[in-house]
Amino acid sequence: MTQQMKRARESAGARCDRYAPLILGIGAILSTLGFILAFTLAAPVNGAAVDGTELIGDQMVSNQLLFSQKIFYFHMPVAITSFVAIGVAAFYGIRFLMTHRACYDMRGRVASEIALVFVIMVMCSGEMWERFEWGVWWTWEPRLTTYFILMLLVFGYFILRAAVDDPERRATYASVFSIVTFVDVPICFMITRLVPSGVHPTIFRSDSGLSPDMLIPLLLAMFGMFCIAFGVYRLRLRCAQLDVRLEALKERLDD
Amino acid sequence: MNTVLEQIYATILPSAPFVIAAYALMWCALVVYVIYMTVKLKRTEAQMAVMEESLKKIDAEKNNASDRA
Repeated sequence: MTQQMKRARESAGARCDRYAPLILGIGAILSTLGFILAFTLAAPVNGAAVDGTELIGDQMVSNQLLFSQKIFYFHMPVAITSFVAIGVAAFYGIRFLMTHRACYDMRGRVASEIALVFVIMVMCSGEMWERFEWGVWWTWEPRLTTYFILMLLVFGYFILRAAVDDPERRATYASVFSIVTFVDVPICFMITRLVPSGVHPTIFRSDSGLSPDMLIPLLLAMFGMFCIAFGVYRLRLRCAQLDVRLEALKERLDD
Repeated sequence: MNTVLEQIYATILPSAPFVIAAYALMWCALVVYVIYMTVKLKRTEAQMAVMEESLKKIDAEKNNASDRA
């Protein structure tokens, strides 16, 4: 039974690996569509009021049109994807602590690597938004501060891994650390509700205020990013698994 | 262009470099990682194939030697 389960799990993994490039491709297509629609379908958001009204297209406009808001269509999906990746790393951290199987440590490490890439993407896009809209490169606003802590924790995860030589201890510490990192995710997500700062909008609520023309590119970008993250995760995991097998083969050859 | 339209479009051009930079940086980070990972995967696969081949040869040689013995 155990052998059968192991074989079934391996074949499911092989199937995932086979479809990973396809999922990555679907992600690229969806996010490209989201990108195009963000600039074509989604109407610009209104800013400060102007001294009059003008007819643009078929509607009267009496506010500044904010082009910088277009960053949001990818900034938010990428941030949510980074949360998911950190959640996956924490899940495998728990699985490792339960079973002490090295494969879960490897999966946790790969998920943290994906999280790191997405955290960097969030920071890059956020910085550009912030510089233009708020006129500063950094401000200690609650959402930014909690996300900055999250970024430091993700960096810390890899520093911790590099600092411990013993594989068993390294995996245990890293698993606990990934769970601790995940604790910051709900805090970061909820902080705009708990401490409203007025600059970071609350997107997920019963009435998000997003019209369909804004919601469609946003959702396309989000599903695109999920697909990309999953595809990249599977490819990176395959690479890590091959590395382990390669090391084993090298040892056999040395013997 | 009249003054009202000027005010309406006042932030479009100044914000364009920031929007372009945001998307460029995001995609660059992702593309660099995907390329790095793909290259690493291909290299590992190639090494794996070479290793497996050498192991097969060694095993075959061992079998031949034991047969002769």
